[in-house]
Amino acid sequence: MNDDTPDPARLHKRWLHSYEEDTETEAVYRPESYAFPPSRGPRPGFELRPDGSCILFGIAPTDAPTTEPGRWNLNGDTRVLTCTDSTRRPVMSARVTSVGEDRLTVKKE
Amino acid sequence: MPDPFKPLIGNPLIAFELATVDPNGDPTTGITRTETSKTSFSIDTEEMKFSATGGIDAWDTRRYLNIWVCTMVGQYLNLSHIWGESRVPSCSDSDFVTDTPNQYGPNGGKPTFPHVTCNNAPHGDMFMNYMDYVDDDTMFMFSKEQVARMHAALEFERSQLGTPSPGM
Repeated sequence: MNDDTPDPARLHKRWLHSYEEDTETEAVYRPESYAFPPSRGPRPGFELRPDGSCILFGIAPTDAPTTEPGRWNLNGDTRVLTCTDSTRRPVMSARVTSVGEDRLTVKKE
Repeated sequence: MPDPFKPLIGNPLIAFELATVDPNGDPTTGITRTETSKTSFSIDTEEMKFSATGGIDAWDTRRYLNIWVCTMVGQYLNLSHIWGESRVPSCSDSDFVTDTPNQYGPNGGKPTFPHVTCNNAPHGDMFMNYMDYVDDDTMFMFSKEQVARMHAALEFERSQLGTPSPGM
């Protein structure tokens, strides 16, 4: 692991996209307890659990919220956070750029 | 309206009106009211769309556009969210039209132009598109290719829209 690799324990929560705070190149996620402004549709995000399981929260094409269980992993070298579904297919992959107590940022890719 | 997107504006020329005949062939105002004991509905379960769960069943969706509380009509006419089909934000998915810039995820509220994501500078996201999640007073356009998709949907999947009930 690199010295600047985030402590995985800090990731153990449910993070939702706080798109109002995004920059051109980084997406901002906040814990679900954050005082988000109202959103027209569900907020996508993910819950990362200590046992390696994760739940992916998405938006269906019809606007309905979706939940998908899977497994997550943080690559210590590349800082790429990956969630795979039950068939081990990657359903989310994002390079983590910072992790704070109530703020997680990933590169927009 | 930002200048770069002005040439891309498409006019759907699609108008909806309230139904005058219900699925049984009886006259209707096109509006039905349903009393329910439920105090709220979750968009997770879509209970409002089924009589069995305290809501009201749809009329034949091939012939009617049903609206409960807030249905985005674009999807009924085969449009995708402008940020693409992926369930989580991503620059590597598509909304299947080429004249909307590649966009990371939903925008909300009242963004200011340009709002750049996914290397789509200088003009950024077409956030004023009806298929984004911005405020009502901030969304006001479909693109030409979105209009083409809607017209194709009316010609094929939704070709029975507005036609009389069978047997009438």
